[in-house]
Amino acid sequence: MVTFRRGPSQVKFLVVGLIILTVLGVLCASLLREAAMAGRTAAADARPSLAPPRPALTPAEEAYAHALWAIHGDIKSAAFTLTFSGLRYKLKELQVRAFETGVQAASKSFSDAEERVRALAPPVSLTQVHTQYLDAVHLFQRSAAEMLKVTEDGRDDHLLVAQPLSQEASEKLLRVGNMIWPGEYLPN
Amino acid sequence: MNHDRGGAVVKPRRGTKVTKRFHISVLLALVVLALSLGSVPAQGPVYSVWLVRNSVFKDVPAGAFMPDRAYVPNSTNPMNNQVFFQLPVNVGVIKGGKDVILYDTGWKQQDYLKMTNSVNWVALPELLNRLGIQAGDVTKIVIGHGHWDHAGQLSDFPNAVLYVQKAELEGIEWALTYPNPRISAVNTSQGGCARTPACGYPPLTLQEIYGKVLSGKAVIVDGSMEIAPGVIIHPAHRAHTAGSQLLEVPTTIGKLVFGSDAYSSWEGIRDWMIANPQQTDTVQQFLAYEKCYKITGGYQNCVAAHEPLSYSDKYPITKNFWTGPNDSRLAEVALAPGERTRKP
Repeated sequence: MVTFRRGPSQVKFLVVGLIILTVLGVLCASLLREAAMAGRTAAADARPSLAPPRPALTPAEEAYAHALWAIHGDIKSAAFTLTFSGLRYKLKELQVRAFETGVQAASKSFSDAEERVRALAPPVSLTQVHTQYLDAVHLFQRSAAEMLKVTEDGRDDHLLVAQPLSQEASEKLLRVGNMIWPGEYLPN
Repeated sequence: MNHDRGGAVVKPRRGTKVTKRFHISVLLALVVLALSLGSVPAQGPVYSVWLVRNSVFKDVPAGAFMPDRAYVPNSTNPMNNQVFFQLPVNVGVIKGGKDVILYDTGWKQQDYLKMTNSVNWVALPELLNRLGIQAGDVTKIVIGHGHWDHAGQLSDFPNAVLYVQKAELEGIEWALTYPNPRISAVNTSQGGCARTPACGYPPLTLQEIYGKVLSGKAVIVDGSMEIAPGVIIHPAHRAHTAGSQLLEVPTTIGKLVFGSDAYSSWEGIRDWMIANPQQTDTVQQFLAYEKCYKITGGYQNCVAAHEPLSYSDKYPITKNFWTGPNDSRLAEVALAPGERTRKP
């Protein structure tokens, strides 16, 4: 076994070395901390700012939007029934009687909803929205009436006439939604 | 001819070791040739592919998009130090043979702009023009799923045949007719679509799909289908929605797999993290990721719909990009032999 004895000069070197190492350690730690903080600040700066919020609806507008929302669910449900009745009939997954039942049910929902919409009193600022919504309901009703003609003469051409009406109605629903129900559809 | 050590030229003698060496060399060369031929994949058609950005969903909370990447205040971990993501809406453009195929069609109704806090929207036909493609040239459209931001411009491509999974249509109808209104609701509350089974399917989008069916321009796919030589639809049911589907496309850089929202995030595929869990069965999303690894041999060629790193070096297949109208983005992913570059 070999042993080394430390002399006084070696101890001095050791102490000086330790001091230098400590100073370097503190320096490195400070630099790393600064870098991390700078990175964090940069990340915070890079965060995109939120878009300015849209002006809030007035209490009267809010009340109207809330009341129409309750009807809107039924309208959308009826619109889906109409679409899927046509779709499944065209794909030969639905017999004509079942098709008729679906379209009639949707048609009745549109009529009921129309009465409920008419009973609402929109604030002046939303008169146009109200009219647009009623227009959409009428278009759906016309579409349903056209689709039902298939059950009378068996001609699928009626579906081709009816579909653009439903599509236009759906676009109107979307426009109303954009005005009074922001966030109705989120990124999917 | 041969050289002796002194550099003088000497003629090889017939029937000596040189002839034997020659025979062995030929034999070895034949073996190498046979082996290399065996390793070359069967030659088939390859397609040109571009990716275009229809719009950007601005400031989507990181945790809403990828739960594992939710923002943690003061965190220095790159996985959790981002508050928002800027999500592109990517559309795939595939050209080869007589076909121009779109994978997804983005969205167009301006009403969604405010609803979704979107920016940089450009009509898809306009983006295609930048690639020298007219809307009427599009022959096929494969929608990865039927959500409004992926199936929103179908009627702008009158000649295109739509490919949609049967399971997608059934899933939508099931959700919309479910007896419990909390489940069947297209929206669970005013001002929020949340994550109901029917969320993401406005009446208008379904009308667009229905319009294609009525005009005889729709194929209802039940599982896998080869829609052009080498271009294969793979079902990825419940990987994002009930009838999600992937698209395999052979190119000069290897096979690509488009995944729509089953592949919402390319980083998610790389790091095995779920993303954009709307109507997602997370196990099925992972299996869809695995499908890409199996088909392409890794994650590099998996094409994501909303990858925030799109159109940068950090998502390598999109790095060859340029800027289009309204600060949109177009990327040239792969060119088939003889196809000219569209990059200005």
